[in-house]
Amino acid sequence: MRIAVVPDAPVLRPEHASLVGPAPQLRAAVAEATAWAERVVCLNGSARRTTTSPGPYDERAVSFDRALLAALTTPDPAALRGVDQALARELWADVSAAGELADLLEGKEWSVRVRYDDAPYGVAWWVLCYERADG
Amino acid sequence: MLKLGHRVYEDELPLVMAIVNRTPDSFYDRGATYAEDAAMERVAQVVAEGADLIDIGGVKAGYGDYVSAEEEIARVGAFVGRVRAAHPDLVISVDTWRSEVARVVLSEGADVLNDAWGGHDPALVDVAGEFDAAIICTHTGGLAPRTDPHRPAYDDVMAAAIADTLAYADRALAAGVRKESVVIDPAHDFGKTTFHSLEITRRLEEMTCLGYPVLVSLSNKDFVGETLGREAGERLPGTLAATAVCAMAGARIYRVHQVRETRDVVDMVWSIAGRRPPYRAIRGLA
Repeated sequence: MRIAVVPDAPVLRPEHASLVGPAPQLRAAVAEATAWAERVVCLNGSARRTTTSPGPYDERAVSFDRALLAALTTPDPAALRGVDQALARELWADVSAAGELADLLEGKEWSVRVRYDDAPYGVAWWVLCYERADG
Repeated sequence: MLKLGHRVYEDELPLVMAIVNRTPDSFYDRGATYAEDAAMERVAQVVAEGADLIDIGGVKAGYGDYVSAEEEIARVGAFVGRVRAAHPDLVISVDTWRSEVARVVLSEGADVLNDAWGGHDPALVDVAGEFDAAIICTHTGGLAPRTDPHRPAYDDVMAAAIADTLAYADRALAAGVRKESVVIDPAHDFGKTTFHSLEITRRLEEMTCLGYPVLVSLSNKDFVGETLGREAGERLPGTLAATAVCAMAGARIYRVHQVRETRDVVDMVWSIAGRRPPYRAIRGLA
């Protein structure tokens, strides 16, 4: 089983293409990961990380994202199921699929590759690739 | 597809044609680039500003001192060669109605003949065909070169512009010019009152749907000045407004003095019309 986690960022949709960028590295990472994966799960971190983020700055955002990324990369299904969805909504984070991802990851060994981890426009975007460690 | 001499355009994006006058008396620049070095600097400047092609003229369109074919060749012939050497990929148009001038400039490396005078010299199309050049077919209502209209009258000015430019295009095709190298131009001000020029602007879509790319030459012209009550140096906003209307109607080539401003207006309208993606859009999409 190969699983990819990508953000559902509207900027990636073909109808929103620009002449230049604006997120070429994310676009390339998402294209590669989704072509490689058998299952794709969409989630992203907070959109309130900085004063230039889409949402108003919230000082809890960065630590929320840090904990979420740790749960994703460990990976820790229990921590993913336990993500505070109410806080996530407050922080404009899209993690409604965290439980679905936890179910996919549960009880198996995984090799995790972080293909993208950045927030160039104030939203925490990740592209993660999960492959069964035991083949 | 559009083929302007050595350059083939597979896309449908708009093109900005910068005016480069080698004249001592043109109405807008008043001889600013008459000297060859000044004209070369103007070429480099408009290329840097994003011009897709340039249009070199050696004779003022309006009344003025007589300019013989020999004098016109002296002004633009070798100059085209110099521009070609300095800018090998640049599309070069020459604004001339004379076939003997056309032969010289095409030999020097020009790509396009911009005949502002509606096919006054019937041999012009033959030279275009012989050199595989592009030609711009304008409507002047039968006006002789370098004359102003006096009481021009049309039953329907757009119908006349369409009929005349298509007839000119047919002559070009018969002379061997490729269809993808024929451009039509309703020719604002030429053989027209301000009311006529406003009407062809308003109705330009009737021309852009004909299957030929349409060139518009609006830049700082009298119809803009008369409409707004502005002198030659004060017509940029009016020019850009007319440019936007023509862009919405789908005009393909814009012959201009101000390259950067025109580029922005045309690109903006092209994007509003859904024909061009934004340069870089992230607002609300992260």
